[in-house]
Amino acid sequence: MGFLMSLAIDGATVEGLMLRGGCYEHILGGAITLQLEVALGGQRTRVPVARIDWQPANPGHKNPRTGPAPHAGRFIGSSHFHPFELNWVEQESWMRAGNLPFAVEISPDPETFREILDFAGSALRIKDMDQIGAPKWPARLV
Amino acid sequence: MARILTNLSLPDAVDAALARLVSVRHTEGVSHVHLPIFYPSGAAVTVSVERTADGYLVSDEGFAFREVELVGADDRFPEEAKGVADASGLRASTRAVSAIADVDSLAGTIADVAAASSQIAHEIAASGRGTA
Repeated sequence: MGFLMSLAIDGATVEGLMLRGGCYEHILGGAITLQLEVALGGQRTRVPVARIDWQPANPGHKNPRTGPAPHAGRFIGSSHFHPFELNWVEQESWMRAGNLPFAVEISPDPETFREILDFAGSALRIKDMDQIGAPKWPARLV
Repeated sequence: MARILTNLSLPDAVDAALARLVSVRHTEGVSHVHLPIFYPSGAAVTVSVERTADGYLVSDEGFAFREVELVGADDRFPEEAKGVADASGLRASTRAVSAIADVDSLAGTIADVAAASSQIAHEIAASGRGTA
């Protein structure tokens, strides 16, 4: 399940700048991804710019061993944020290879969907995140 | 200099590290195994294990698909997954890689599905689709 929405800067929609959200039908209440991304020149592929993985189904994340201290080589075992700044290579004016390989732990870990939206709004600098509705996970028979 | 917590014995430090690298979460009817094998994003591979009439179904649950979907390269998944699965003796669908195991082959099958899931994502990333 997921959504893809355009983003505007100062009221003007920026072509290719999108916020993507995703979760799994069979993983209730967590495993939510929110990604800021850019589509280039009509290509199908896109460049992730920053991403939040809240209570991911695969909780482990490992940063590459080479890169900015003190993050290089760190292992994270919970919700984490892949910030633009750690994944941007200034000398190359491009993102690091490997789909935002550097992340930092989100601490404290938001407890509710609303709290992760608040965090995302602040971290990704996006207003009106409260317009995003909670995922409609299927009801579970008990 | 690397930080050393002197109040931890070597076995305790290693046990703690291993517990973070390899873990399992059991819920109703399904177990999720977290392994120290990684996708291009740095995410650890997780496989699920369910009991079926045919044996234990081990699946990557579409996590490799999700990994490549995030860079818009999910259209490459079916072909790449089939190639890797065929070479590894696994099954590939349009969104996941899986295999059936008996109790004796369960450990090896968990390892094979996890390795294949990671390989699929790495090969698609290496093809340059959607990555720097």
